[in-house]
Amino acid sequence: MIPFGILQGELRFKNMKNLEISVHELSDRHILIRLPAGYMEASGHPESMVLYFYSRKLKKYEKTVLNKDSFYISKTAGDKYSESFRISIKDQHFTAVCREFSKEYLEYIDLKLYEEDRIMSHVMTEGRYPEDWEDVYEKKLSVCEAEWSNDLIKETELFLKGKKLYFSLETPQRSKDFLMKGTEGFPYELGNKLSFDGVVIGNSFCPNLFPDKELFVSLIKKASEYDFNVIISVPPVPESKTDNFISDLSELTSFLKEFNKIVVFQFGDHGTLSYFKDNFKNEKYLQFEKGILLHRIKRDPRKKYLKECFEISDGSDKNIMISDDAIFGPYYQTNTGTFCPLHALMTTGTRSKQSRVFNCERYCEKYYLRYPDHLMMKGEGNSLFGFSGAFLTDKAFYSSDEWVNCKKVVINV
Amino acid sequence: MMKIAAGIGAVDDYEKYVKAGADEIYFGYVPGEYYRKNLNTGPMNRREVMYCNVQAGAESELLILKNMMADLKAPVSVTLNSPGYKKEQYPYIEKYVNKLIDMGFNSFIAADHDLFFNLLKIYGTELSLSGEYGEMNHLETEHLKKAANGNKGKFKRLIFPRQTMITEMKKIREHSYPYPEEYEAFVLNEKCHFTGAYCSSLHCDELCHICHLPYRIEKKADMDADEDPELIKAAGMKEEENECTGSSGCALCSLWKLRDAGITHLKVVSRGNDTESVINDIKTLRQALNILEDSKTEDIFIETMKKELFPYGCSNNCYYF
Repeated sequence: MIPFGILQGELRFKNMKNLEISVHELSDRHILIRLPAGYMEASGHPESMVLYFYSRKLKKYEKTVLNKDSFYISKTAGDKYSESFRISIKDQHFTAVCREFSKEYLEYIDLKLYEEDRIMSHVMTEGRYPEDWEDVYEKKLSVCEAEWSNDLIKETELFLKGKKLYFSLETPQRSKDFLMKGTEGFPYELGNKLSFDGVVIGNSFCPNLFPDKELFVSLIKKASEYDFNVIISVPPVPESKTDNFISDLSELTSFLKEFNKIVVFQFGDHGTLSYFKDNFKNEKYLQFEKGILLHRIKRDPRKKYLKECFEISDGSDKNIMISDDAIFGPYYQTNTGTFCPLHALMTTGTRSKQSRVFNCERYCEKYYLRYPDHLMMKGEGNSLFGFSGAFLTDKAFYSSDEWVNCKKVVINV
Repeated sequence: MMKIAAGIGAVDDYEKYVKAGADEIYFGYVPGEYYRKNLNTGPMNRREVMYCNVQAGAESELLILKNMMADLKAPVSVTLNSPGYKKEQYPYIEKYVNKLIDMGFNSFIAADHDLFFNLLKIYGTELSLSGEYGEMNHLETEHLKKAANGNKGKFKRLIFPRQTMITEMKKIREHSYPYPEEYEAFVLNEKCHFTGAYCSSLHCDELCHICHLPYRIEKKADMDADEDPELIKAAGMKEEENECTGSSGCALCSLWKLRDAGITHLKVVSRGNDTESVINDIKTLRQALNILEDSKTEDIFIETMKKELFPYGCSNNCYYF
């Protein structure tokens, strides 16, 4: 069967509704289709037939309408479930489109069977994906971070326009730096040169990186020294850690009462979110929201190589990471393994041998996965992240719903 | 005995898989008009490619599938398991579900939270919560139970995400049963490096999966990674993985524990795999289940199963360990 995604048919009958069909065999003069047993007898000869051939070159389907005089149907086989029909077609447009389609489809099969992924990507994106660059590891992402942060310092007032600016302390290093040096510990002098309204404490992706009670309390106290607002990001909580999370977080909520500010919790799973919404609904100083991993948006640094495809429905090739009312950047998550790929790599030699991590050795504090330069991505702990300057560099982005609806901007360098 | 669920990439596979020993089948369907409007963006399910046979095909194929189902009786579910949809997709999906219900398909697998509740609310369908839903814990099943209370549909089955420990499955089931009544776990193929629900990257025809891209492991501090003892140790630990049943992920040794945890259904991941290898997977799993039934202890089961099914060694690529 030719994949229905790239070739679709429709039989149009006089007295019955149209029937969508798959094409099982194709040449420039015929197609083979099949119908449920007895269907053709009941429906009679179709009045016309429409075929939609996907053209990779044109990024759209080419429609071929065939009226009943241009094709001839003969039954070729049948069993108790279905009957097959050969449809001979005499139509120049069909023949031309079919030849072009077959060329593209065969090229795809060749690529899939015999070529490396990088070559396939290069050809399938009409040369946009730079296959040669998969060996290039010259520029570290920290250099991009520094450049981006400099631009941020210059442009903040221009783009922020009333939105609150937060800094993310979601890694152990950032938390330590903040505790020791306060906002002076923010990298690239961001703390000195920008006026922040709050910090994000916790971790959106990894339960093992969520601060213990002692660290959590210290971070909140430090935040209150700066009169900062606080977002607490809670990762998806696995069953084996649920009891501990519930008991620790519940205990911390009473401590937060003394913080004298509304504290926002952003959760990574609906179960924990729902538990806190139900059990703390009378605590007006607490607000519970959906976190990043409950806002599922396609994000991939390679989107730009598919720009023409994505323009059709997305209207953009942006990679956006949002929670209920905040937008995060310049890093955006693309993948997260709730077991940890980095831990597996360090303890078994391969990312595939993963299991739930208890008493984590925190390999992520020492190691990371580095990707070829053009991808602008890294593996950090249990997740992969891409780097995008979109909300700073792309003025068109400011009219997007995501930007208009967000009240907070979280810097996560 | 635990039941086998397998996915089909073409309708003809239904008969072959059922005859090989599958008890249930799941499939994806994307209407032609949806493809023509959206191409491979905003996928309806986790089969996010156009150039491969991973969906069942056209409406005519679904009608043929109905004929096969009437004869062979193995139940079928439709996968609507994209981890998230755009707002504008929901009205279309509603229309789509109505069409499938009219055709006689009454069981769906959903991964998106809002879609799951809409399906329960609007339709009297049977619903499975997909392994692509996200991290699972007993608070989640509690939430689902509460939110779905009084709706028309039935939350029939929980499919555990790949990255769930068997002890966690057991605890969740103990807490949740009989809501839902059935619990499914992955047992063969496609053990991803990342959790399906949190895989936001592209799964399209044009580019490889992001987890297949080249990478290097490096130290964060500017130190020579080549001389780092932990990295050297890790590099030397990689075991050889054999090409055999379950080479991309296998849980046959865990069948005893899965049964003990209350798992009722076992998933053979088969989208995009060739028919012959899926048939072989189903037959192997069926043999393993027969050995399980005849074994008095877990050790005897594992020893007998390995001797009979993997005389030259197994894949070493365990789902659960």
